[in-house]
Amino acid sequence: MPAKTLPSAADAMRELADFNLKMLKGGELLTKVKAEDVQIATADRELVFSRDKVSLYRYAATADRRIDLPVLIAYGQVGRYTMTDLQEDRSMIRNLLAKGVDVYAIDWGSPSRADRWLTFEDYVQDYLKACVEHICTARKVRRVNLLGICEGGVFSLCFTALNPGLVENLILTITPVDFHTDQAAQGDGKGGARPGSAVGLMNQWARSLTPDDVDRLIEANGNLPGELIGYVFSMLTPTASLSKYNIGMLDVVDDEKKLLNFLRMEKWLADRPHHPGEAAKELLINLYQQNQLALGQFMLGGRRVDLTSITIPVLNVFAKEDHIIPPPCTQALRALVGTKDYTEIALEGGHIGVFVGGKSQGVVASGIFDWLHERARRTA
Amino acid sequence: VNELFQAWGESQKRWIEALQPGKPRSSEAASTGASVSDGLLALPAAWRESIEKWTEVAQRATVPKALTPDLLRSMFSPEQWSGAGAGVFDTSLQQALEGPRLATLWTLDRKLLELQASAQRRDRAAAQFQSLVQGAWANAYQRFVAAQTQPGAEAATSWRALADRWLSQANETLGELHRSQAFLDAQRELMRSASEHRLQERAVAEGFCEANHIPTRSEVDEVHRTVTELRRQLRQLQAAAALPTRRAVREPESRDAVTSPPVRSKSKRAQPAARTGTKP
Repeated sequence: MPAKTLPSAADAMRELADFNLKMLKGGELLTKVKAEDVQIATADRELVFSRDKVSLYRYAATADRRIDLPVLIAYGQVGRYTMTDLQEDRSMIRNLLAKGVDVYAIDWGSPSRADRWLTFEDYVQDYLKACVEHICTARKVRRVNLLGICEGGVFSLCFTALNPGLVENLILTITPVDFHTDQAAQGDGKGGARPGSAVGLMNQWARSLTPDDVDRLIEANGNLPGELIGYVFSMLTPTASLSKYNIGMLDVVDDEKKLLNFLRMEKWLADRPHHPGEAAKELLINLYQQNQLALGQFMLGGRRVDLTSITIPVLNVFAKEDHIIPPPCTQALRALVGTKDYTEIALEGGHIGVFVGGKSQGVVASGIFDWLHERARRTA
Repeated sequence: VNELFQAWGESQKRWIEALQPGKPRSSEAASTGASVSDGLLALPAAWRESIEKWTEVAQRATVPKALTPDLLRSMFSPEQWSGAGAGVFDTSLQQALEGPRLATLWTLDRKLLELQASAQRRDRAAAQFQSLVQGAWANAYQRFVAAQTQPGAEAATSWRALADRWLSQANETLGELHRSQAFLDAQRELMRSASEHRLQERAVAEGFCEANHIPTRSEVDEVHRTVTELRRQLRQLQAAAALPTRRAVREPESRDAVTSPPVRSKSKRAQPAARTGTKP
């Protein structure tokens, strides 16, 4: 039987009273919250270029410019770039602006079934390239600093390898490169690690399918449904998904700041775009299943993506507790790129936590700014 | 078999004789000099005899799998229907699907049967998937109870502490399940069967569309593919045409930017419709 004494009746009454008070305050707060209070990605910006569903924004400066070349942020199709500017005090974009960086960001839009046939080549060599060329033309510069996030990091790697003259510095954050490295790092249960705990969840899910499964999935749905991607991620923390609107919400319901932060995060989570079908096939089959990028076999428009051709400075930022892109999957880049100027920044936190977590605020932007500033100083 | 063929041959002979009243016959009718009217009178008898012979042939040729009362009772028993794809009903469906295909005859019926079969496969996969998940929840509960009642275990001092322990235990157990091969296999089978069912639904819907002059999903997909490919070709041509100009002059703004004038925005663009989903 348990050795510890059970709570007394008075303890139980006190807990019940606290609970009731919390619920009362929470109820009052929730009635006051309006849709405009839960807006995300509100930093001042300007639409400067668009093509099909793709939009390029330039953010208004908030400090004197300290780095000449603009930074272009490319997110992936899994999720939306608005995560980089969740709210005023949790925003990588605002932190970069505050340090005097000229920031642009691409919004890939909301792909529908009509976008089913778009491929990696379309995103890299058409949309991303058009955005870079627009910035070069408008700002009268020859190159940009490219910052890729997650799948956007893969886009950025491909773009830099195929268009080396258009990128000055390459910054990657939480980017998968070697999609099979996690298997080698898999825990066997003997060293204290839970079996399979080091394996990337997306990697494991994608590898459990056959190429024909992926084909039929895309044929049936047109795209890789955003809901399915959300489901796969929800398996990382299964009970958190089930308890966040009841038990989890109790932690924040009587604190306006925490409650609004919670609701904004939920808004971003719910906004899960579909992944264009043909590009999804390339992601799941060519990359996750066949690991073609790391093997130097990935082809875009008849051209091989050769990572050894990347000789510009590369900064690789990753999260130590990332179970979607385990550190080995991205750290493999060091041995694959041709540059001698390769830097890593390992941050505490998970895949998204490094961008939106309270403790990591400013750390990502500071790391990127310092690294860019050092290279700009050398060039000057 | 010889007996059947002999019976068949005899009936055919009588049948032909009945239809040729003017010709001399080898049978006893020829010796008696029967007329046309005699031949016509013999026709119904020949017809009846032929039908009887054929009935006999058909009965003998029937596979000995006649529907017995027991079989019928089991076929229409709700107990048989409660399980997805269970019993003779499923077998009948399978036989219908695997039967001969006669050009386009009964195409819609066949598509509906295939849709039904795919729904059963999907339901079976879902049941298998759910049983694994339910098993993990039961396992989590057993572990939780064992941890709380083992000697020396600290009792939770509040309902919240207890709930957190339970959620932590459930999270760990479900996490183990999600990385197990059995779960990955069940998940794949569910996704595979759901995709096939969706495609079968499309096949039925497209049959309706074609009959009612409505473009089908496949046709619309083809149009989208063509548009995407044409757009690629157009941009390649535009890029090739712009190359000499771009080399000579650096324009202040790109052509695309002119066609899409800058719009001052503070997140005023219409947000896409929110979808349900979770990510870490």
